[in-house]
Amino acid sequence: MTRVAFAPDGFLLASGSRDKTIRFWSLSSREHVLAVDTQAEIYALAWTRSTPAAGGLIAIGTGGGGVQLLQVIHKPGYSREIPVVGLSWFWATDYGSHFNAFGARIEGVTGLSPIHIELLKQRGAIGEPVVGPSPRNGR
Amino acid sequence: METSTQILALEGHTNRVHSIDFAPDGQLLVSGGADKTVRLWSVPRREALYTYQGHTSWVRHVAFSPVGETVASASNDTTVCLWSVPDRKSLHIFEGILTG
Repeated sequence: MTRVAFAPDGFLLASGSRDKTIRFWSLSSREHVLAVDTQAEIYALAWTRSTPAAGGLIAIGTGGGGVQLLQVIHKPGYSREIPVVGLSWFWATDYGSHFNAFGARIEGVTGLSPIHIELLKQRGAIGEPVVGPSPRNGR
Repeated sequence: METSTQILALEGHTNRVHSIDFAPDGQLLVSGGADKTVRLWSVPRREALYTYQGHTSWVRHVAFSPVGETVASASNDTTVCLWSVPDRKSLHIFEGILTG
């Protein structure tokens, strides 16, 4: 384990590791609550200190030089005894190798929606796909 | 002042200090390092209060809980330990699942 941080309400402990996971541990039951794959080795981790109602944000620093922000979401019934949470990506300087499309060639590709094209280009895909409906029998 | 500084040096970590954190009230300091120990310090008294031992490899990070009654430490031994500040003892060891 590389880093630890307490939840602002003290119900959970988060740990970050070079095994690319953020893990949550209940401080009342001492049980493992959740593991989230971050796709990047974690060398720094911080949890916001004051958070009205919501679970707050967790920030991690990665081996590749990236910074990621993750929103901690309290699941229904969240309590000291059962602190069930989820995580969703809020923002990141790098989305990790799993989330990028650098060098992917989408020249002439058909069947992509405008939003998919935009997302692929944001993540490094190259070329201009064919906009419009996909041909019925593929290529 | 000179003497207490020297006592700190004598009783302190025997290898690199990786991490340090203040208690919420600023009166205590916790540190962890490559000598596998977690150490508690009094800020106003400028002296070592306690040495938590149990990790079998480097301590990479230490943190106080929001109220300051518990300290957590993350170690290269793949575990996370909880330590009681008032009772000066280990509370729990969270076992790592993969690598450190």
